[in-house]
Amino acid sequence: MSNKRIEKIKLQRFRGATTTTEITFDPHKPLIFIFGENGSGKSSIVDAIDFVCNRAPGSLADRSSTRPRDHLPAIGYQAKDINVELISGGRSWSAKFAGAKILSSDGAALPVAHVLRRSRLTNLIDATPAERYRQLQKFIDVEGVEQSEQSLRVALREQARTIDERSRAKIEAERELAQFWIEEGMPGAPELNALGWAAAQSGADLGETRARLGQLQNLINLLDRAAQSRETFHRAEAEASEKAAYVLAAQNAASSAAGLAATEALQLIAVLRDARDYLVRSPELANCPVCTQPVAGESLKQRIDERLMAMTTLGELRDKLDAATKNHEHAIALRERDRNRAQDAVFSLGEAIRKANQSVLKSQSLAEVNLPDLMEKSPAMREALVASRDEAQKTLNQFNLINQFYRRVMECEAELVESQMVRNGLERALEIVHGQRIAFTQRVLADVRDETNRLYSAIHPGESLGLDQLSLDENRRGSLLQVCSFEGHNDVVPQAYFSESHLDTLGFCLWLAIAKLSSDGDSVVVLDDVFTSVDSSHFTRILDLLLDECENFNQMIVTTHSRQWRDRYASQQIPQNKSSFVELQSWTRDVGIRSARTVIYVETLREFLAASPLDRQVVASKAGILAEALLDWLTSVYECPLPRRRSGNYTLGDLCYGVKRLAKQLIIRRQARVNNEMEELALQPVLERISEKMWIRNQVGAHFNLGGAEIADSDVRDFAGEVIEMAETLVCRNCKSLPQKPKGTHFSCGCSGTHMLPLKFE
Amino acid sequence: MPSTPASRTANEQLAEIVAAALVEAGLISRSRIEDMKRKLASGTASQEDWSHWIAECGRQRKEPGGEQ
Repeated sequence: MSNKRIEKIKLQRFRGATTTTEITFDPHKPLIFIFGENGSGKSSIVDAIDFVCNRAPGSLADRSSTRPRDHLPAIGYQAKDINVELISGGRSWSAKFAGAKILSSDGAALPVAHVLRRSRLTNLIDATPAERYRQLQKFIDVEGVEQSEQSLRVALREQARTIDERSRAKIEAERELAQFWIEEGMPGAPELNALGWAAAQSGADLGETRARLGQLQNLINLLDRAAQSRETFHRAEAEASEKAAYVLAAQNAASSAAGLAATEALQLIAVLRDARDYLVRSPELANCPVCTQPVAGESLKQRIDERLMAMTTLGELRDKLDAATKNHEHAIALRERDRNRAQDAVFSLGEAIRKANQSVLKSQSLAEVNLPDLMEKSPAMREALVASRDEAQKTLNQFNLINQFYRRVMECEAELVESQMVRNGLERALEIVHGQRIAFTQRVLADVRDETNRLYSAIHPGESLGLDQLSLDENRRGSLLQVCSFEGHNDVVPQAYFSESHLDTLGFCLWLAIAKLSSDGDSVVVLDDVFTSVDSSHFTRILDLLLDECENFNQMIVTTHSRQWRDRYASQQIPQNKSSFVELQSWTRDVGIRSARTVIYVETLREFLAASPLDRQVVASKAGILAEALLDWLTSVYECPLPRRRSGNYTLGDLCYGVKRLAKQLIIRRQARVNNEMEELALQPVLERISEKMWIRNQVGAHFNLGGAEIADSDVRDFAGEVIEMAETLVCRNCKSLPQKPKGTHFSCGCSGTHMLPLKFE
Repeated sequence: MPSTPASRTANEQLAEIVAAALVEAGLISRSRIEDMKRKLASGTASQEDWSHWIAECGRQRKEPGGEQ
């Protein structure tokens, strides 16, 4: 995670940074403290982080009569002069104004920073339900799923309508079937109802009926065809007889017209016509082709024409006779053809009747009819066949109707069953979607509530205060209600009953719980002067909380103007392995914001002790302060009895005396430097030596007096050395912190490598 | 605190939970789960989608060897 910790932030002409200011953070420590008195530039640094990471104007957003573009620039500068650069994980991001907008480079990969300022501490608690909802909206707003759930409701309503429609359709289909059944005489009743009857009927095999119907229709067709053929034949026969009569009449007419035998006259006309045709075809003819006598062709042709002219009437009669003869011959041909056809049709009919079985014909007389008699009996036969066919057709029609009604009922039933299945599924789906949505929101809110309470109880253990419920207002969208418990009452609005300090803590805990929810451990949390007035007991708890919670984020940056934090850090009451301190110096317009690393007391003392020439006053003074800090801490941890003073302050003498009895029992247990085995160190020897020399602190380090002047440098060095030894005895070598966490039988340091025993002294 | 990654929206987180519950209840076919999650989270699951998903899964259950 440390690769995304903020390592450095560089401010140019931004708020208090009148000159270019670089603040460096230790990237190996998850918890960074920025200490500075009011007006030293803490909020400028926090605003700069907000400016880059969130493109936000920072604390100016909460202040009236300010405009970020006008008031974020350092005094005397303009928005265009601003530049803020942030370095994290070896990457650099910068932000500046572009018009009224704040632009930062590579926005997609910006470090995520959550900033909480003192001014906003109680916002979550004191806010309107709508504002509180907005703070948590990102985690509980499931509008997409809600819309999908609404579609599901509509689908369910539509499905109910579909079921109604299909139920009605099924009832109608059943009614039609019942009606038909009644019309059919309620066959199968009382054992069967309409549906049972239809089910049985629809399963029947009507193949035989269909085959019989086909055969009957075939017989009728054959019978019709035979009758028709026979009729045609009779007409052809009549036609031929008529044509024969015409021929006879023509012959008689020709005979009576020529006055000679008709046959002879007609033959003569035929010979003369042939001879004329021959002469026309042979115009150069010289001899008669019959007698070979010389002839004059033209003259002969004239004579033949004259004779034929004389026989004209006879010729016409001859033509009529020829035509009548030809027509007669054609009529005979047609008659013979139709006779054959009629015979074929009758034969086919006879064959079909022979092959047809009894059940098809259903008429003994029909089956037994002889072929010669067949056509004589055809009208009766046809009547019987048609009756049988109609009966079979009726059976089939009835079957089809039953099937149609039954199938309709069954289809309606199937559609209804499917619709009901879908409706049931939609109902169940709606239960699940709705239930999961409510549970999800409740779970998130419960998680936030539980985490808030856990954090709160870590700061205020044993207090009967807490966040009872966070819930969405059922009557108002986008509204988040909160209810607290207080003195046994579980429906308390916290703003009404909690003290300012408790509201602050509750607000901080709620904010931190939300920040944790929105972070996957990769974000930076910045707390700007959130802990303003913390008493001694709450200080340790808040510190422990911060040390624990900083592990859930990439980095936690805490600004404070309280020197108590800085002094506790310097006296190693805050683990050095997890935290570092940046100390801001007084701000001036000329130099702007200045920072320095906070050096712990024991390091400062060592530096002065090693310096040459020895500044004995500084060494004695700093040794005394370090001794007081350590003994003050020790008496506080063990609640050692001290003399009561009006001022509430204790002298080094008071403190040495106060721990005298404790020192006899106190043991420090830790891993030895040399052999890695556990070693035990007693406090008493070094404390006794310090007690013997503690007057040096006042004589040399605090006052001008002749007595002090007589004290040798070596005594001052010894005194400082004893104090350093006491610090080295008490402070863990690994995490550089004092063992102050109670753990079963002992106090433990930040890394649990050093134990201080006992837990309580007698 | 919830252990789901903060990079996913609340809609996406809930859609995942809902889809899994519907599949578990045998109401939605497993093959539909991705399509469904996307539509649930974006609010685009229509009434036709719901009817289709439920009917399809019901039919599949009826088929021999279908999803149970």
